[in-house]
Formats: sequence, C-alpha cells, structure tokens
Amino acid sequence: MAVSKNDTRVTQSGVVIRNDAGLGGMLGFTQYSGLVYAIAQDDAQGVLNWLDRKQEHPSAQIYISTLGMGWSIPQLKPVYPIPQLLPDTRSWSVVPSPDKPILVNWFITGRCPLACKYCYAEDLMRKEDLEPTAAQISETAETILSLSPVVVVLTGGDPLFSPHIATAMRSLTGRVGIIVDTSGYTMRDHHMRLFAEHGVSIRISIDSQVPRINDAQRPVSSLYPKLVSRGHALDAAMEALCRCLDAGLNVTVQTVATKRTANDLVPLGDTLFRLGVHSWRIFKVAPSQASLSGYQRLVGTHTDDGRAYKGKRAKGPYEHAFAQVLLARAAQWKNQLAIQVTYNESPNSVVLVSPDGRFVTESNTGKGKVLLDNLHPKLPRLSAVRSVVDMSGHAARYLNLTTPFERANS
Amino acid sequence: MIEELHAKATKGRAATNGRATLGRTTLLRDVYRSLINSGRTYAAFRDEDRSTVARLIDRSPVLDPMSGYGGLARLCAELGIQSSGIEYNPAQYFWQLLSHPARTDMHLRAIATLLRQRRNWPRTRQRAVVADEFFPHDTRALVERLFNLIQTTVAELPSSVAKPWEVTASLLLPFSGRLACTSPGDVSTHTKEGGTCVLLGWQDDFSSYLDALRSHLELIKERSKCINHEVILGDARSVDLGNRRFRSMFTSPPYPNHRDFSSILLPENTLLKVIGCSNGFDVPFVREGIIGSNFVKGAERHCPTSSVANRFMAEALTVRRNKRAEYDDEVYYMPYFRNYFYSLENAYHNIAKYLHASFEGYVVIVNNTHRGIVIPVSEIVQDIWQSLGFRTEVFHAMESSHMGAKNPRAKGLRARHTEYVVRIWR
Repeated sequence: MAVSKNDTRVTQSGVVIRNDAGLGGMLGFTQYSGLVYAIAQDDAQGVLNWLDRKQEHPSAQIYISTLGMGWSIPQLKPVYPIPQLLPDTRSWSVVPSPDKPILVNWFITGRCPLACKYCYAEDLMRKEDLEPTAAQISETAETILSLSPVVVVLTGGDPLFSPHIATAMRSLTGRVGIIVDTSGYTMRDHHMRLFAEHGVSIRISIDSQVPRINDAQRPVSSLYPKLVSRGHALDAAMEALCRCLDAGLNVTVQTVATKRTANDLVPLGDTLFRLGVHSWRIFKVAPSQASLSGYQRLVGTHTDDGRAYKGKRAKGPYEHAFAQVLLARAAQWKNQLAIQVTYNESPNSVVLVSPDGRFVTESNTGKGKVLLDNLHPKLPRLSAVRSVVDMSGHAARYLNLTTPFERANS
Repeated sequence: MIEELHAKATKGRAATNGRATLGRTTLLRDVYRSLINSGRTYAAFRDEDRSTVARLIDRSPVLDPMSGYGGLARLCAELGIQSSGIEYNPAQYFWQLLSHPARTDMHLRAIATLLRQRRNWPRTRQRAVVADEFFPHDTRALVERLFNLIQTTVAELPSSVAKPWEVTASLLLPFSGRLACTSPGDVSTHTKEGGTCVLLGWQDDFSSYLDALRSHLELIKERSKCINHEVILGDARSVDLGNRRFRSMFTSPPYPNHRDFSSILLPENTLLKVIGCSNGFDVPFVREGIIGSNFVKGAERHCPTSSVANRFMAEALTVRRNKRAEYDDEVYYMPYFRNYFYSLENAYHNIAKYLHASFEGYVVIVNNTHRGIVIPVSEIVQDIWQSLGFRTEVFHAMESSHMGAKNPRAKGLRARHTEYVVRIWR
C-alpha cells in the first residue's frame, strides 16, 4: 500500500484531530493536557464542528471538560477520564485498533546530557555520524507526517541538545500535535520561546523528588564533563519544570518507576500536584536490549546477583505502588491530576524514528530495535507498519487503556 | 488560579464538629497532621487507659518519665489530675508545650494575631527547592524570617512570656517540616534528609495549619479540668528532681519495634539547632541518645543486667537464620537490644530514687516479635523494677495486632502483639 497523504489536521480551536476507520471514531489531541482522546463515531461530526467553532456545543459535556481545556473552559475545571475514550467506555465495545499510528517518537538527536541506567534508546544514541542535517530533518518530518500521526514527540537523546529543534518544529507546526520530551538539563530561554510559539506540550522526566535517588537512575553523562558543573539532574529538571509552569506552558511530568522509586510515587505526586502540574505519566521500567543490565538491576524482580524472585516478589512493587497512586489521585488530588500508567507489556507498540530517519520499533522477542519496513527503512509502507507494530497495544498505550480502570474510577 | 485550586484541595473541614483539619496535600508532616487532627499518633495512651489513670487521682501529680507527645498530660487534664512529664526529645517536648492547657489562651491569641498579619508573612518567588539537606539556604532564610515574625508577635502579646523563643519554637515546629527538603524513610513515620520542598502556596498551608491548630487548642481548652502540668526537658536516665518524691506514675517506654523517634522528628530537631544558633539559644539533644534509637554504629556498647533480657537475647541467637540474618543480628539487632534494655534499666534506676514509699505506678508495654520469638518487654520491665525493690503484677493484658508494628502488612505471630499494663508498687 502506498503511503497516504496526511489527513491529520489542526482545528480552529487548536485541537488536532484525525478520523480513523480502524479505530471506529476520531482521535483528538489537545496540547493543554498533552493527552490523546478517542471520540466515538456517532459524536465525531458534532465534536468536529464544535472544535472548528461552527457549532456552539458538542453533544456531551465531557467533550468540553476534556478537549475544551485551555480554549473553551478555564483550566480549573478539566476532567481526566481513564481511559481516554469519549464520551465513556460504554461507547467502545472493543479495544480500539487504529489504522495508522497515533503517535510517533522522533529521535531528532542521539546526543543526551544524561545517561539513564534504564534508557531503552541507548542503541539509537551517541552516534555522531548519524546525526541529521537540517535538510534531513525536514525530509524526515515530511515522511513522518505522511503516516498521519496525531502527535509527534520530539525526543532523543535530549531534543534540546539538537541544533535543529527549531527546524523540526517549523516542519511540524500547524500540521500535527507536537510534544517535546526533555530532561530539562539544557533548557534555555530560547527553548521556552520556541515552545510558546509552536504550541508545544512539554514532557519533563523526573523519577524521584529525592536528588540522590533521581540522580542515581539519571546520572549526568561522562561524555559531557563541562555540563556536570550545572549540578543535579533533578535540580535542572525541577528548575525547568518551574520555569515552564511560571511561563504558563503545558507540562507533563514523566516518571520511570523502578524498585527504588515505586514506593515513593505518592509523595512525588503530592509534590507535583502542589507545584501545579496537571499531567503525570508513570512507566514501569521497560526491558530493552539496549540496557538490559540496568533494567534487571532496577526492575526489582531479581536479586542483586541476578536470580529471579519467586512468589509475590516476582512481580515487583508496581501493582501495589500504582494502586496507591490511583487511590491518592481520587482521594487527595481530587482527580485534578491526569495520570497515565504504562506497564510496558507490549514492547512493539511504539513507532520510533532514529536520528538518521529509519523507522523502527522495539522487538517483542528481545532483539533490540527492528525496522518497520526492511525494504523502505526511511519511508515505511503503512501495511508494513501495521504488521510490525502492535496497533492494539499502541492504542492502549496512548489512550490510557493500560491504567487499571476500576482503581482509577473508584 | 493555581492558588485557588490549592486552597480548595488543602483546606479541609472535618465532618465531625466542623473542626478545621489538615489534609495530606498541605504537605505538613504526617505525624503533626495526626497530632493536630486527632490529638494523638500511633504511640499514645488510649481512652481505655483513662480508667487506670483515674485510679491515681488521690496521688497527684502523676509522673511520666518518658512523656513523648504528652498523652498522659492530656488524660490527666481531662480527669482533673496534675501531672509531671519528662521528655528527652526536644520536638516532642515543644509539642507538649504547645498543647499545654495552661498555655492555650496565649497560643490562641498568637494564632489570631498571626492570621491577621498575613500580609506581613515572608514571601518567596521560588516554586520549589531541591536539596540534599533539610534546610538549604533558601528555605532556611524563609524559616528564620517566619521565626522572627512569630517571635515578634509573641513578644507583643499582653500576657508576659518568660521565654518568647520557646513559645515561638513550639508554634513553628509542627509546620517546619512543610518547609524542609525531606523524603519518606523506610518506615512510614520516618523521614530522610534531602528532597524537594514546594514553596508555592506555603502561606495557604500555614494559614490552614494555624486554623487547624486553633481548633485543636480550643478542644484542649474546652476539655481540660486541670491546667497544672509540669513539662521537663530532660533525660529520665539522669534527670535530677531534687527532693521531690512522686506517689504515682503512669508511663510507657518507646517499644523496641525499630521505630526511632529521633528519625521521626529529625527535621524539627535539625531546625531547632539551625534557629538556635542564630537566635542565641541551645536545646540539648543527642540523636543517638534517644532510648530505642536505631543508631548503633559507633554507639557505646552496654549490657543490661536483667536476666530476662539476657535470656531473650541468647534465645534470639539460637534461632535458625541465614547468613544475612546472622550478620544483621550481630551488627545491628543485638547491639540495639542491649542498648535499649540497658537504657531502660538506667532510666528506671534513676526514676526509682524519686518515688515515694507509698508509690503506685503503671507501665504500658507492648510485646512484639523478633525472628519469630516474642520480645518479652513486659517481663523485662517487671524484672528491672523487682530488682529495684518494687513489687509488680500484670494489671491488664490485651491481645492486639499491628500495635506499632513496623510492617502493617505483617501476618501471623509477627502481627500479633500483646499489650500489658504492669502495676508497680512498693
């Protein structure tokens, strides 16, 4: 099948939408929460008219309190349903499986000031000869857009380390939702201006509110000794987070839960809530060929000498820790914190683009990164994408179907 | 907008009696939220102990040589009995001062004035501070300005206060953890140095704190029939009470359950040192000196003389263990138990000097477990008092579970704890 033209578009309200026959409805991304929602087919046209300001109200209030955030309602009254299926889960009888990717993670650089112990992308990084030029960036952006994702995440490495971040944003802006993943370690004023100019949703990584724990998992890379003088990774991340919040930018905090951080997630949530953060993504540390030893040390299902625990401990602390977070969300944070919990059980549910423009995903048989299309690694066919990527897992990941519903909605 | 959201989330009104209470999102430390909201923490005398204390009504004042958060003073105040408490841990001593029934009027006036002066409260432009220490430069400066503000308020109160800094410290300490960079410890009540302190909206939290404290103090005022309670900052092992002889005692020692009161209240005691240095006062406190302290590394090694204690420790070493457990016992648990029982012996030995010939006292103790065997604290306490020439009996015993247990999910014997009330008399 030939690559189709981009049928994702930005509505008058700024919400990015795409119709998806496979999904059985419409996808909508709002930069204000950084969340993607699936809209039931019956309501799609009405919602589209409302988003294009042709209609005063959508068919249900829930659309206003989710997709209306930031333009239709004051940010004080949002609702963050789990999962992100609208108008409610009853309208979706089967797990949606989209025809095209919802979100593409684009590694615009392999350079990163940090060397996270669990980094799943280490095999795509730190290869100077693969660093793209400005022309290649524009070219890759067009290829990504041809897959019609609703959101493109500029990641890396740290995208703020790339000299071409502005080029990448210019290529994408007004055509797709943009998220920037960063450690915040090298965030500067001109980055903030770029984010504001292009309506970017920012994701900052903070694993723990304790400097020694956060920095043990996310140490500064020895490749950049001059950067070490800038201090703790947590210091920098917290400073970047506060600057973004002060500037009124839309921020999501990302946390990788490991055996060292899982039990302290609720206090971290308290801190984020009080800082004014509205969106929090929590990942269970993921196995990856790129840093398997780091994963095994941090996942908490093995002893220090590598033997697997038996019984209850074999699962690690995650189930209990995530349940506590969801209880706190309802009881303490009054559902005013959007939470996405990802167990990372389907490694090939992501679409990744390497710095040199190859489209890959994580192998589900532990072989590291695999090409989406062996014949056209830099211009994959949609049929090849669908055959390699677990599209149901992909939808589950980005529509928040992996967070335990009962707990979240209790 | 954010402030509005926080105000909504942090201001709680208890369902009962319309009392102001503190929610978790105020970021105040759990221990103080519990004390302010309910007047007690997990380690406190219960209402069941009221009838036992009432037996001592003709023998007042009732002595508590390890008075903790002042649970006995509260019971005595409600029963109309005088009490004398000795406490080694400064943070707990200041909490006792704060909730002292004779001081409620003064504290309530100070709270009202502070709330009226909100526009004078120190301001900060930072949202958060990250640090490896409890009070880095930014938060230290804020806390010191707050201390000075409260001290000025207290000094201007109509009633003369002998030591304004004491009143100031007692008003500030429960809130100070809110401005500290802390992280949760391995045990739920413990806290570790270093973390992230959110400064955004701290004034709302201070306001909520003062509001809730006012409710707490009004309740104390309403319920107290006696306001004569003595609080002494001192060590039961060495305190000198002169010629005084007490005719009654009601007390409970820290339990050997690995909760460490120096770790629970470390930020507050650190703040006392910080503020004491810049304000010319010094509150004596040795962290490792607390009875039941977890700090055994480098601590002096002592051996108790109680035969029951020594028998228990010998038995614990015969339990089948893996190498790791053997190592833990050798380097931590056994030195910990030795120091704990030795400290109890010393404390009771010193206190016994100040007990009247017609003395009658009660010690509340919980026996929990180590390596599957019961730690016979009640038997050891009786053994110590008997060796001091007193008679003892188990006045009351109650099977319970998870009393002050380290692990709230423990099952079987590890979850079963027996609470004893031991009567002591000559």
